[in-house]
Amino acid sequence: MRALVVDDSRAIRRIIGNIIKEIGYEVTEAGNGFEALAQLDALGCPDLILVDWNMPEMNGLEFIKAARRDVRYKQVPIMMVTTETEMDRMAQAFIAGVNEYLMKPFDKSQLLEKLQLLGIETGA
Amino acid sequence: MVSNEEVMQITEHVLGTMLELVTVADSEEVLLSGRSEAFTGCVHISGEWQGAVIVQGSPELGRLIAERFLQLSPDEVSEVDVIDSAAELTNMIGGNIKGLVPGPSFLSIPSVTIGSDFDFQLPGTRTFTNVVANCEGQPLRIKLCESKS
Repeated sequence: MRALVVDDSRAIRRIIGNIIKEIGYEVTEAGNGFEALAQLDALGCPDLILVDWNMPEMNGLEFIKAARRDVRYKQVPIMMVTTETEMDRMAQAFIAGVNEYLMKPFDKSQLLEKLQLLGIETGA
Repeated sequence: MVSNEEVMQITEHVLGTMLELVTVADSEEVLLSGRSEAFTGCVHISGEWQGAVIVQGSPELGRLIAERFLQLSPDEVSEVDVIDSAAELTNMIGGNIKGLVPGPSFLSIPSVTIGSDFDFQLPGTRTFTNVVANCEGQPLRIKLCESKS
C-alpha cells in the first residue's frame, strides 16, 4: 500500500508519514499541489492521499479539484489535514472531493480515527 | 475581538496536542530581543479581517519544538530544522486564530527569522493581543496585530 503525503511543512510530512508507515504504508511526499500531481503522473494512483490546504504554488484545494477531474484518481481516498477550521472551508473541501477532514493540531489517535472512517485498518 | 485567554488556549492546545509540550501563561514580560538565536515567526491574515500573528520563542524552545516535530535527538537539530518547525508552529497558531476573526479571511504562508539583530515592524497595524507564556520553562510570546485601515 502506498500513501501520498502533501504538505509544504517538512515537520508535518514527517509526523504524518511516520504514523502512516506504522500501519503499513509506503510513503511518498510532495511539498505542494504541483509536486503532488507530478508524483501521481510518475508513480500512478496511491491507495491514500493526505493533503494540506495552504501551500505555495498550488494549494490543496486546487490539487484535489485537479486530481478528481482525472478519472484515474476519482476513487482514491483523500483526507485534508489543515489549519482551516471554518465550516465553510470544510464544506468547500468536501464539495471538491475530499473524503475526510482533519484539523491541525491533531494527535496520533485523531489521525488514526479519521483513517478508520475511511475504512482503513489501523490496528488501533 | 480575540482575547488574550483565547490566544493562550490555542497556544496550549497546539503545543500540547501536537508536541506534548506543557505551556502556561506567564505574567512577566520576557525580553527575547537579546537572544541571538531566538525565532520570530509571522503569518498574515487577509480578507474581511486584516492583520498578522507573530510568534517568538527562545533558542532553546526553537530547538525543542524541532526535536518534537521532526523526531530528532538534540544534537541532530540544525537551524533549518528550527526554521521549519517554527514555521509550522506559527502556521497552526495563526490558522486557529483566523477561525476566531471575521471571515472570509485567508492565511499567508508563514515566514521565520532566526536572530535578534533586526527590527521587526508591521506598518499600519496596532497590537491588540500580546500573550506571554512559558513552554517547558522557555519563554514564548504571541502577538496579534490588526490593520488600522
